[in-house]
Amino acid sequence: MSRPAPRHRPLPILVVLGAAAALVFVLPFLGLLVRAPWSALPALLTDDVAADALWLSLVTSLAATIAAAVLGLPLAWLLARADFPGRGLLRGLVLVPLVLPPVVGGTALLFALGRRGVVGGPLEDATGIVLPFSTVGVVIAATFVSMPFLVITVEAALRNLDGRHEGAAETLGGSPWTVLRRVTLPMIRPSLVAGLALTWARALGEFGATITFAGNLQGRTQTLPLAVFVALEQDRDAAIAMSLVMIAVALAVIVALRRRWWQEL
Amino acid sequence: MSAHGLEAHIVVRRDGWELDVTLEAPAGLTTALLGPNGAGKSTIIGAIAGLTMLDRGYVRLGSRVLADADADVHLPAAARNVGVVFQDGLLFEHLSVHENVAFGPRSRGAAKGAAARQADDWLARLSIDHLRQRSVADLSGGEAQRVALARAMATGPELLLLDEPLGAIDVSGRAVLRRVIGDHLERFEGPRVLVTHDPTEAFLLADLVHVVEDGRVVQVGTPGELRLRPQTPYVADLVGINLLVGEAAGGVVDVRGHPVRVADVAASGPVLLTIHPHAIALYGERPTGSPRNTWETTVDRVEDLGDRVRVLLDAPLRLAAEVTPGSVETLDLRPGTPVWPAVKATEIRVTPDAGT
Repeated sequence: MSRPAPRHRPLPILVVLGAAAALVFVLPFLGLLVRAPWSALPALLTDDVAADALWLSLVTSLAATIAAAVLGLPLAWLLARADFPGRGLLRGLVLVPLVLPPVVGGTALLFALGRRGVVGGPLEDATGIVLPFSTVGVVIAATFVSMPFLVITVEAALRNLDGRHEGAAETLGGSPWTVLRRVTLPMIRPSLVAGLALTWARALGEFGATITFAGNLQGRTQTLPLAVFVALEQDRDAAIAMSLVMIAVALAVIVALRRRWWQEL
Repeated sequence: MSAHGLEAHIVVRRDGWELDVTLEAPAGLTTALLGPNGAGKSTIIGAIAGLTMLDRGYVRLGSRVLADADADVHLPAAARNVGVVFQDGLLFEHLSVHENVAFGPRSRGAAKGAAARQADDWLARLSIDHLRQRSVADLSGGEAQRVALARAMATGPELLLLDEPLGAIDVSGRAVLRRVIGDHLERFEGPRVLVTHDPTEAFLLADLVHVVEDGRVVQVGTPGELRLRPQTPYVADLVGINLLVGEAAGGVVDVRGHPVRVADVAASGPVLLTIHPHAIALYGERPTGSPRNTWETTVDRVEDLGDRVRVLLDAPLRLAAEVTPGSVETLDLRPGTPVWPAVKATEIRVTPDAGT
């Protein structure tokens, strides 16, 4: 691909500020990498607390991704395709968890689904199920903060989809379910994959809503970010080791999705 | 399967624009909808196929009601059993050629093996079995349209709709694909409806032509009737183009024994010649001067279109010429008047034909 020739030398002030911005991104990681206890990493990550947190994070983030897919896909479809009153409002609400401080989200979840919450109280009375401070609570908190990534990515893809292919599938006798499964979803597959990856990464990194709604119990609700936070007070090397895991995951997601964002390179 | 005819009255309103057409497409015949882009032809296809809601009217296939706006009947597209070949193919890019063709039978409940065999059968009939495992993205335009035709036929439709099937095909591939489509249309028992903006395509493939202009059918007839008796200047412009079939060699085309000189000296073999009626000048005696095609004949018929007059010429080349009312008077053009028509070689468009 050809690029236009630069018409101006970049202004020095832009170079300085731009470089400073790059440092804002790079320096923290450098700091972490310099302090990383590389040789002790295996031992640090298989330590009881870290191993529990790793496993719990993996399970709950995957569960949250599945929940976001099962619930978020239909919501994205409705927002993109259905015409109903309040659709604009609903689309706005979906974005709220993206901009809301997660602690506030966790607080809201607590007041809704907590033992004395609007839904949580009757739920416990009826079924005995207690959501807050449970592993399910971790999944709910992660789903709350991460599902918007799936919904907005998939909704945009559905809007940009040339619906005529779905029409062609209908004329071939495809039922609505067949058309969705064999035409619509495969056609938006790149966006779907990107949405799922972002959702998973966000779920894996969730801290505020989790600690507020689900607490910090090792093996039950203490996910990697929570374990890092606790370890900072007691065992810095363990905190760094667990941080490196999450940085690796973040880099892996970005590399996996590079074609989506770095097309111009 | 006994074949039924299509009867439709289609009214679709959209942003102050209204499509209102009545159509009849008998079984076993090809009915063309001919008109410029934006005339509403694709909307008609959508309404028949079940992809566009009718505001008024009905679509009936024999005694089967596919849609009836008054009775609020709107059979879903999947239940209509109407095969559609879309303008740009609309193949499923995430599926292979074979999977595309098997999609219909699978969707209609055939078991995997049976659907695969049906797909193989249609790929073979369209001579594209070698493309079986190819990705749709790697097909040429002509190949893609064959796959689209196979995909539509594999469902065993009662009615076949083709929306500009040659629209995206380059000139060299068009003649061959037109022949392929023509052959399959002829063998199809039900009604077949062909949408096109190209009069040549309509004349070569259709038994009946509906001319659609700005959401209305302005004339219905056989290609011959339309050519000979265009009822509005618009139809005259659109379909009044003279079409000749001949054999080209070295800049001369043999049209049933009559040599026609053309500018395209490279053309050889079977060709189609199109000559606009404006391009044919009429003289009272043999014209002299620049080299052009000229011959002696008589006037067969004279038709007044208002500001211009259409003059139909007798053998050897039954062409239509358009002249001004003034020259009709000067030359005293009436049936039987001897005239010398003249056409410049550069005014004759030559396109390859696939031969018969």
